Amino acid sequence: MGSILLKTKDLCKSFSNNGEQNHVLNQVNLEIFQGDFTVIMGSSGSGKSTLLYCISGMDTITSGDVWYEGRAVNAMKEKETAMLRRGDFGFVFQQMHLVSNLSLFENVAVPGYLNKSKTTKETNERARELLAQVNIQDAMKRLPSQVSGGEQQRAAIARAMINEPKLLFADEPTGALNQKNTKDVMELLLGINQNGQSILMVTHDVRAAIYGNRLLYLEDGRILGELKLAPFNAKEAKSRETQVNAWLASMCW
Amino acid sequence: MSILSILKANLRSKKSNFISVLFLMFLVTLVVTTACSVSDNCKKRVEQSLTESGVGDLCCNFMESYENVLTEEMIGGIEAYEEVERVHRIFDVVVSSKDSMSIGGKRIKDRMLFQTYDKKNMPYPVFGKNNLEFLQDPEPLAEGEIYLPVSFQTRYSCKVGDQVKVKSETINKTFQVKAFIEDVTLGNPLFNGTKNVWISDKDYELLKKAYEKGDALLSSNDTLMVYQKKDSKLEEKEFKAEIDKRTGVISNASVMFSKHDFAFYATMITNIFSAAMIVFAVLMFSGVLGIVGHNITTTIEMDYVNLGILKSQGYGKWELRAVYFCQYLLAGAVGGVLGFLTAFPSTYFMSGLLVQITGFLPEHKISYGISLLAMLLMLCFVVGFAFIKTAKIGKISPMRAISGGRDSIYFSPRIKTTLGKRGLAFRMMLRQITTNARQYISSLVIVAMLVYFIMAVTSTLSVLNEENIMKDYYGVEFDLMVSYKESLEVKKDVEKLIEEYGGMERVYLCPSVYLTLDGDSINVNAPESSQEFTNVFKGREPRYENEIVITEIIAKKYGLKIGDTVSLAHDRENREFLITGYYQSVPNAGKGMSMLASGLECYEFSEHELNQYNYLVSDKKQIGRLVEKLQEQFSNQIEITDVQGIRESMQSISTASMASSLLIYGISVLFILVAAYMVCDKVFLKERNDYGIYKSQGFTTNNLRLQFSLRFLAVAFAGGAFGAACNLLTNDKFMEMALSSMGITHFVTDYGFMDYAVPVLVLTIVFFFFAYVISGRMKKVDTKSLIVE
Repeated sequence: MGSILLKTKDLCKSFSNNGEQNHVLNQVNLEIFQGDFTVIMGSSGSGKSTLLYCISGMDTITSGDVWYEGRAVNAMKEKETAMLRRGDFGFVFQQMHLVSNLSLFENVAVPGYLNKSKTTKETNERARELLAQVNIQDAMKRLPSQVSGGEQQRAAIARAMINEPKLLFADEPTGALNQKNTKDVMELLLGINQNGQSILMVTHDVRAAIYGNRLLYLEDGRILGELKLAPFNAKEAKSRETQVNAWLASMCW
Repeated sequence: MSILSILKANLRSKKSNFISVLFLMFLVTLVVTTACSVSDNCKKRVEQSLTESGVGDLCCNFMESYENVLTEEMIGGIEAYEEVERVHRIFDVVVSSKDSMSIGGKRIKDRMLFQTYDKKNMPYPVFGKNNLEFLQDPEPLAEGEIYLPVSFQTRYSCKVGDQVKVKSETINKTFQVKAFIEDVTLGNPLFNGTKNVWISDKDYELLKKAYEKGDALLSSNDTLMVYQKKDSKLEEKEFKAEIDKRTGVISNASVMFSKHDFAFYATMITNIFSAAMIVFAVLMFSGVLGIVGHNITTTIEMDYVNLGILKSQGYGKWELRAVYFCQYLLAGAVGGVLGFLTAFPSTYFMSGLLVQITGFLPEHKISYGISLLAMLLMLCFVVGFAFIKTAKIGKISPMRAISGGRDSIYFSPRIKTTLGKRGLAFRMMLRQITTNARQYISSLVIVAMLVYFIMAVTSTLSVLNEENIMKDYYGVEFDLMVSYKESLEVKKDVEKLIEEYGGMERVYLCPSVYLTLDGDSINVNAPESSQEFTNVFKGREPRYENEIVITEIIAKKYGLKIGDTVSLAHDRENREFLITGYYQSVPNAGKGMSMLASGLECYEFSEHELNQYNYLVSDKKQIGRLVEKLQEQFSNQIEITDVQGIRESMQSISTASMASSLLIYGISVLFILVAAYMVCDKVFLKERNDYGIYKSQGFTTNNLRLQFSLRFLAVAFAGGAFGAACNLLTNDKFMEMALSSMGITHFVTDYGFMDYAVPVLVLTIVFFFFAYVISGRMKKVDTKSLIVE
């Protein structure tokens, strides 16, 4: 197990709706380790995505603490969290969220231009490498509206990787994809993880979850269980799926 | 009911949109209604004032100093003419030496025609307090009291109670200003040199006796008013021609004005500036249409899914389009009504302001007819435009809309701008513009129009202030015009003084007289040599005594052109001249002609009229002092007109130009505020999701605000530069059209760098500023808006 990258202590998140309090996250205590492919699972509306965005600094928390490399994320100002998103964190969204008037190449490269430590040339080269890595180098000059959902999501993954983040957050990255594209994207993420990239993914799809090596179950705003798996092997995918389903059943999924 | 529900929901959720359109329509309606009403009120007041004052249909002046004589024979001939109802003669005692009169220590530069206040025949309106009303039954003037034309309040900074000192050889009298008069004839601030003033019967007798005894500083002026019969079917031109043919009264007069002429000159400035404000309002209105179009297009894009849903529920395209019509019609109507109502106080305010500029007090009524018609027309345009722009609602397919399958709002740009680390904000700003350029067109056009207009109005100020005003706008160049009253005995001494004080650069003979053309008195300048003609812009200057140049105003009015011959009369002497060219001359609203001095020899003019010399002084700064010295030593023998005096007489135009410039700047800033808000607001809402994405990638709020605002800075600057370029190319023609009634038919725009830089920069900065303020909402754009649970 690698070192702790991210840690939460008694994390709570509530929403107020017409005077009624809705406690989405309830005293969540969690650690994310370097090099892990961590998957948070739970039923629809369980607060998975909320947890993801709270611990990444994209959303505020009601109470508790979130620590990243010894720094309190919840206490950071807007500029500091922006710096985190520039260098340390990468995001992959369910709806891809590529900027519609930039080409795939530009969508990948632009966040890289914010990185002061690299020149434009270096950033452009890295963008090309990443696009090749995700296998869409032929489509790099096209606009998002001109490519398929799978290609968009791969571009989104490449974008998330441009600044070599320490932790990659993925919110239901296969939620909007068909089966084939789901497999392609998950294999891509697996490949990235095998190269040392730490990933924290949220999903309700078991076929996507089996790629992780550490599964956490979220229910009623709490982490109720954890499952550690061996590194993914394509030949064992079926048995792995069975194992995960059994574990989920024990969690009353 | 179905439409009403959607309309109410739209108004609730898009209040700012509604209010913005309302405000723009309010501004446009206010300007149009005020401009039309002021113009109408001025026209009516001038006609009323001329009637109330008892001014005749023709007004002929005979100045003793020019040896023009009104004879009993002439009067008898006129009275005998069956088309004439009556005549009225006014004998003025003229104090013409400009050293002889002062108000509050300030030398009076005008020739004052002293007359009694004739309540029965010529009851000029007398202003009451604050110049906002007239006295119903003014008390007769007591000894020592004087009425002055209201233009003196600005010209000489005088008020009721001030002292007017009159000093001649035998008279040394002080008058106290009792009140001011609305005199739309000679009291017009544009008329330089001669003013009517009114004193008591006793004081008048005193002056008249002094004149009759031979006081050298006093002379006389005979004014003959001729009244045409009400049922006469003759046009003014025919009436004048017949009167002159029978009696020679016009040809013999020093100058003749008709009632129509007085009305024309009196309303000239207000007509020009009302027209300018209406043109400005039309431009603003086209901007409004552009913004409405942009708004509708963007709203349809953003409401694409909702429209699809409504269609799937059974709403037809006409019902949905009707919602938009009603929305904009309501905003336009409410704004129009508010603008119309606000025009009441603004017209009242403008009327009070105009007294000093025009010399008369217009009413402050609203011209209901034309204003309501204009408002109705604008509403029709707005609805019509909304009709055209909402046509795409018909193309929305419900299922495609609901499934989010709308067409991409971005297009592959023709201009490919590369992105890079250096200047990332600037590059992204360019990219934003080039990928959806259409949405910025309305902003660009609005700024272009406003800059064009501001530059056009400002260019009038440069005309009035320029050093070459004489050369370009008067036809001849001079710093001093000296008229020797009796003989040229003192000419040497005068020139010695000029040389001593200012350095005499050049002197040339240049009489300025009136000749009759088709019954009209036309001013003619006659320099002694061809080289003194400074602004013949078409054809050539006269080289022989039978040649003449005319203004384009004269050419148009009398159907003349280069190569024609024209017959000019004076004192029953008629002579033909060949037109060799066009020149420009602003005095008398451009009704001027110019020939060589030798061309006047066939006519009988007095020594005084012919002995007029123009001087150019080396040291221009000494002109004021030089004039004072000349007045001191030669007040009996000469009359002086200097360039400074002419500039002062154009003060009213300068004031009106300055006021218009400021007003237009002010309205432009307001307009840009609303336009910027509407356009930026819509663009921001459309791109909100993108900003969330950028924020998730590490862009800060400040980065994004700068990008957003820079975009509008670029668009506004491009619009401003475009407007400035259009103005530089077309301003001459535009100003010639606008100012032709003032006599300017050949306008030469003379811009300094600041004249186009300032409007472009001001409007660009204003637009940028408002875009930056609106971009403050960027703070509230949350990355969690990207989350889909």
